[in-house]
Amino acid sequence: MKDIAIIGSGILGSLLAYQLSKYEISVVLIDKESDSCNGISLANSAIIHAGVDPEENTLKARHNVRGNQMYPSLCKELSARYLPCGGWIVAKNEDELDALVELQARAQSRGIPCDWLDQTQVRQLQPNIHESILAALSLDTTGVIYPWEVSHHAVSAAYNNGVECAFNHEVVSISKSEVGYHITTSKGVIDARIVINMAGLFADRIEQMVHEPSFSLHLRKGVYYVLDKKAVNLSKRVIYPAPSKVGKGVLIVPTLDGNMLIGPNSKNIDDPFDISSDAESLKEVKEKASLLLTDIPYHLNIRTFAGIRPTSHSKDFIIEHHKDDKCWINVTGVDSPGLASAPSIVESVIEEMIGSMLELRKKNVFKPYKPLPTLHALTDAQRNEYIAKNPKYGHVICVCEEISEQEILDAIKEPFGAKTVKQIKKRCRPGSGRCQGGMCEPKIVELIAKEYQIDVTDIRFDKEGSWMFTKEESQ
Amino acid sequence: MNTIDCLVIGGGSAGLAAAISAKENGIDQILVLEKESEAGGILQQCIHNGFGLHTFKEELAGPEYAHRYIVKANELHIDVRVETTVLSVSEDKVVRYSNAKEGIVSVKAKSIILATGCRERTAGNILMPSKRPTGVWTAGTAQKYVNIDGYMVGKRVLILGSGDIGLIMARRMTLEGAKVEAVAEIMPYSNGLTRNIVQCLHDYDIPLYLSHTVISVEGKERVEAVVLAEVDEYKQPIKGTEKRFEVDTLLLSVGLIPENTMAEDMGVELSPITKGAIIDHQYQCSVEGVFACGNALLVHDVVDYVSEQGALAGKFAAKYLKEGLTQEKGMPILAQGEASFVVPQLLKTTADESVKLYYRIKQPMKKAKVMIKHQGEIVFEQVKNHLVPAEMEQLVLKPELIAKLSDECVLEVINLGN
Repeated sequence: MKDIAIIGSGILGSLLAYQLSKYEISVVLIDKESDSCNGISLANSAIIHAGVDPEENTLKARHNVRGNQMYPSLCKELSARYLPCGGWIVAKNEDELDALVELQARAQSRGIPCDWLDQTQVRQLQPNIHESILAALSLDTTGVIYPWEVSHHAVSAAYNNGVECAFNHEVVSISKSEVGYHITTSKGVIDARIVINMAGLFADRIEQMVHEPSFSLHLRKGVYYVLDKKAVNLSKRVIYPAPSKVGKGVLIVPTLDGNMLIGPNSKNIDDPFDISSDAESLKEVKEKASLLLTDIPYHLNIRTFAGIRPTSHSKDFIIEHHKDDKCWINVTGVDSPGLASAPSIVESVIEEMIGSMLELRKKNVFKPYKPLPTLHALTDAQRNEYIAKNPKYGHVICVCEEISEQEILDAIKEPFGAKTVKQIKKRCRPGSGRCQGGMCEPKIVELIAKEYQIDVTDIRFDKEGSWMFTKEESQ
Repeated sequence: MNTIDCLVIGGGSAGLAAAISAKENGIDQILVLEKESEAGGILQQCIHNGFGLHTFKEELAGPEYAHRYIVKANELHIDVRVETTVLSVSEDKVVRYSNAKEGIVSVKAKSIILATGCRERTAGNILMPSKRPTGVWTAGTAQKYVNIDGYMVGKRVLILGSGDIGLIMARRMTLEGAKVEAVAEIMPYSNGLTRNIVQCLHDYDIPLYLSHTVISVEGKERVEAVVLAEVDEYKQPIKGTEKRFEVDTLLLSVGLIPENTMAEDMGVELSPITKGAIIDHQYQCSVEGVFACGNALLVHDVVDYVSEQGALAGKFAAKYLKEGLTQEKGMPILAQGEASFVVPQLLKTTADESVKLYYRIKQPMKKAKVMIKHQGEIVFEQVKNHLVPAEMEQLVLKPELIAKLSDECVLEVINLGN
């Protein structure tokens, strides 16, 4: 019997597992996916919003503001990168200018640093801005992360500090007993006293396995373009239009490795598995982005993707004990600015909710996440020191992103190591560049097979059904 | 920092030919850097035959063709370093490379030959609508899996794009036991060589859907189906023409892009049409002492011409090192009418021997007139039959003709119809 079962290892579940691993309690992290951060948290805008967008007196406002403040030090603690790029909210007409004025007042009341830029200043700082843009609200504390980097480092540290990670465990049913919950998964039974439902797009289904429904979710899909690093000069900052009823609209986002993200649109969907980048949505994003910047180089597009976000019936985050059952905690409806809010949500879940049920004593010994070397971020002299110790750091496997054989082996061999092509891509980027894995994937496959001593045909791209090679017929 | 006379980036058919030629033209200090574990480039995975008809007057398989150049380079004691990746090249020709043995090394090159080949366009490049299940590969990657590594990527296959790699993979997958349901091509004509359409599709009863494209790729974890639709003249899918194929694999043969990331970094001017360097008739780029050849210069359909260009680049690099080359701007050669580009793009007054021009045409033509115009006058013309965009065309400018040219000239192709 575990003290706590966390269902869902997105950014919320990962950070909660990490923070709880600092205490003398037993925790299991359950996910149907093969890896942390494979759903909502994987496919989004990756922005740590400053905190001006959410309406007053909402959980979104509270956690966004606090979360934004927490990220730089959290990223440092987790050896994850944080890009303090700043952001602009821009207005192109009177209505949007009014909205901008309101946001400026809100920023000031929330203590968020902001500057008003008039059209001349905007054009000077961002020469490729669309001519219709009249003003911008500049927010210096807007940042960008790689959600899977933060999430993976958090889960790795949690694992190294005793959290049990039950990946590829799809929850199929839950029953309640006097002592806790009996969670049946596709790979066996897990018992826990407290359940934290952080199951993202599936949180409603998880709750309904054991309780009457206490909330409902509706799903919205958004597609994105990912542009080649050659487009790095498109914008150094996040840019998005003044808010509308359906969210923040299409954004221009610089990423940590120099690619640009453009998206998302917002399309209501029912199917939580519908991550298609459809032609209609791609067109819509293009049209909307063209109202922000001129001459976006779509010929440099290297990938499109789609992400789904769940919006609760109240439009606000749901962070609460189930009304009939204190030991069941729902954390759901976490759409934008969920990524930015995650550390603060986790803090409040621990301090205000779990803390009231369990005695939380800090462990005497805690092992922080031990980062792996990223060679292309080092000087040649530093790199040569690594190569002298291990020549495989000198053998480049992924040319587009300059990743060495040993960095891939490190990702495979670390305590919570990668076993699929996608896990390696998430951990050290081969396949993220302009050839999209065309050149390095065969080498990655060989390395995985060799390290795990498995047959190449048993390697999966991602989930169990994502086979890559046919098997010899065994007659 | 060490200095080297001639540094060749890429040890494929262009790079090896360039290095051999530079050596034969009297340059001793040559270094070829190849990122893969053996030289030979993409030919190593092209196990079908048909290579070398022009050069060796026989039909070789890709690895055999490559082998001849590897042997020659060995005989000439050319230093070819494999598993060696170039990390960057600066404007003053300092090349940074990395391998397991030496670590990261910077070397100053007196001349550089860009022989970096090309890469495949991806699903992202063509903005293909998809649920992004596993089972979508570029045809070349699938070719590597099947021919080099020995793994089959699927059982039921659809191929988008009728370029040569797509056609050859249709046959290859069939021979390896897969069922290739169809090849789809967005253009109203194929972009592959006629011989490949006959030998790879017709001979195996594989249907070719012209003016068709992929409008969705279905499947949650692995591809389960691909939907094609016919396209109108603007390449937009026509409603009601959808055809659904239950396949587990989609291979993409949707074009090749010359690999010039490093060329761009060092300030080499690229052509927006070929995506390769703009060169003069001596294969020199806009940066002095930097030469380009092969698929890095323009995407070829026949390897013999890749080697031929490599040899010329090597020869002129040697000449540059020994006696220097003129750095005058040169006379532009422009493509007009049905010609989409012409390479080399510049002719210099030093051209004292024949210069071969490579060009492609924009659409299939039964009969066409090819002209060289200078100061409004036609100085050369010829009529050609059966031209297709898939096949590179050539035209040799004789020295006596070149002598007449004093400034810009135009290569123009006119469709003479049926």
